[in-house]
Amino acid sequence: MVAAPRPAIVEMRGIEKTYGAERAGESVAVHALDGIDLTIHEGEYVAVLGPSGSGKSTLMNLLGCLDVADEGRYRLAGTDVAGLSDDALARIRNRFVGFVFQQWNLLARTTALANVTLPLAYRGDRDREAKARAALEAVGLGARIRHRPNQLSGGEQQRVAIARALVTEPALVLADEPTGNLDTATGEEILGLFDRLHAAGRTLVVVTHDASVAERANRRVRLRDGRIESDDGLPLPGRADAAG
Amino acid sequence: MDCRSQVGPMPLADTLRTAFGALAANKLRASLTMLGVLIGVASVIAMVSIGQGAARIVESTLEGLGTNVVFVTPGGRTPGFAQAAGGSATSLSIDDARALAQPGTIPDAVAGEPEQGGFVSAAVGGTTINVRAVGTTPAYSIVRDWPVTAGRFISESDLVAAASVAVLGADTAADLFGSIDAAIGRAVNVRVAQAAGGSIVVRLRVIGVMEARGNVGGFFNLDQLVVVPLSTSQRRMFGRDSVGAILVSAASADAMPQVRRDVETVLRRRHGIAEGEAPDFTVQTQQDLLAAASLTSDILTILLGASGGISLIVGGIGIMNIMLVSVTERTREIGLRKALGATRRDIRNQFLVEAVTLTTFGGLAGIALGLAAGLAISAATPIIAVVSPTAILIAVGISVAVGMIFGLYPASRAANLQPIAALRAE
Repeated sequence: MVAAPRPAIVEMRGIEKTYGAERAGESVAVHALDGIDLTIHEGEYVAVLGPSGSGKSTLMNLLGCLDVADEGRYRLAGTDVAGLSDDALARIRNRFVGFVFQQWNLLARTTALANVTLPLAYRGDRDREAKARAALEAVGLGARIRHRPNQLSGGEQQRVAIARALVTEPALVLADEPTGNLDTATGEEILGLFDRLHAAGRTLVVVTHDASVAERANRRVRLRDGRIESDDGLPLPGRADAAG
Repeated sequence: MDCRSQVGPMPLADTLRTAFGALAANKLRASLTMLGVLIGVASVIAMVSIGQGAARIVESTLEGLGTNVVFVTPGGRTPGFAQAAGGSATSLSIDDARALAQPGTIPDAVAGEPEQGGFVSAAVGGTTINVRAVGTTPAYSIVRDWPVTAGRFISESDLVAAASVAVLGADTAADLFGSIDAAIGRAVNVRVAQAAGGSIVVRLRVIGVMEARGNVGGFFNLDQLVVVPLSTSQRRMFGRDSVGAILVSAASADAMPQVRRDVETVLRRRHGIAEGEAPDFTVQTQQDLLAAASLTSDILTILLGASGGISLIVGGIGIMNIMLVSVTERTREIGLRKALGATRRDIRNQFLVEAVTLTTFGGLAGIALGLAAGLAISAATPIIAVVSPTAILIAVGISVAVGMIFGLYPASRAANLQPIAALRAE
């Protein structure tokens, strides 16, 4: 790991992403992202905001290495992800990223414990069951580890998903509309959990269109038409340094 | 930093657990999919073991005929067991047999005997059984190295007189008279169907009973037999002079080629057939018959095995179909697994293991069913199904291979899904 006290987790420079799309029967190129420069340091809690079509889903996919940029450089936790194969990207995701999805995406018919164990299984971790148990206890589900998703409430399912995202000790926790499918009170619980993760020093990026969710973050990045419209984060010293 | 150091492929135990879980989640579908492979493997096992059982019967029957015997059958080149048992060609005469049996004609021959025969029904009191009748000469007992166990065999004077006497096979004697000893001196009525229609009944006196030879190969019971003098059979039973087979026994195995050549020369001369022309008779040794029979049974086994193999392919296509459905249904799951760090190999292995699990369990059940079918066939028919461990090993290997081959395409499709597209799938 990097030696600086607040190393950069995300370093994006000149990121561009274009999709081919069909419009009125003609194929047109859609500039989903059009020159993104973004640096996120360890311990930051960043909300990515923007109307639909602003490119925030694309940015989320690139941040999580689910997709690769057409142009520009992206270093995640010091690793340049440009030109990596699908399998190398899978290993990067496993190692550095914890995903929290809007629809939770838990495996049905599988216990909470097995769901949380899954990312550790893909890295062949021998100690995975103990780690998964600890992660579930950390999100307050220690008593429900043998429950299946259909035996859990929406908020509990999202907490299982968060435990699954945390169990690998990722450099970056990436949440996509984490409260989108929850009622206000349950959403508040989840946001409280995020606050605690932030307080514990986790690096969080939450993609949302909900201003009240974004208010909880310590930095808001607004996208419009594939560009960063505003960023209220303070430029931090050492931003230009390449970590490593 | 090296991102590979801590990340390896998913351990096999997890992959297996995942596969079992996925199959258990849809038990009916998994069972029906297995059924295809089960039936395929069962039919391969059953068919091959029946084929091998039939082959063994033919071989042991032929072995029972004796090793140093040359068989002459009427008709040209159609070697086979059916003719040895009494074909319809009439080109061999009793004079051919006499010529061959004449001492000195064939120096290395010990004895020669003609045979003609057919199926008859033999009746004593209220008991009637169908049995093979053979008309022959006293040499029969010598050539076939088959003595009587009670009474005596037919004699030259029986032959000259066309006497109404019979020597019974051990089972026939027991079937008709209750025991071997009780048969001697008793009368048996033999009914022979005539070519022109109708039938005639001949009353024969039992003069002897052959030693028990056993139920050779479980198929051809040598002990169900009525032996009569050839003259009796020719004139009073079958009404034809021609003989179905002439057997000449050689002094030793080494003398077989010479005896065979001599028999051929004598018969060519008698029938006026020059060297190089196609003869109207066939000379064979036990080896020839065995070779022909095993070729026939090999072809039978291959054909039966192939028909089972086709069911296996159909079963494999069923596996592929279901696996493709499963990949489509679980697109989101695949996307999630990829997001969490599954490599293409992890995903491919997961689906391959599922397919191979299906076919392996299908195959094991198929082996059980195939064995049961073999036992049932052994119990219901004279054929004793022969299940070779090789056939079982091959069946297991094929099951696994079917899973691999037909699972590979669906598994590769799953492995190549892009995570964002898969995660967005409904």
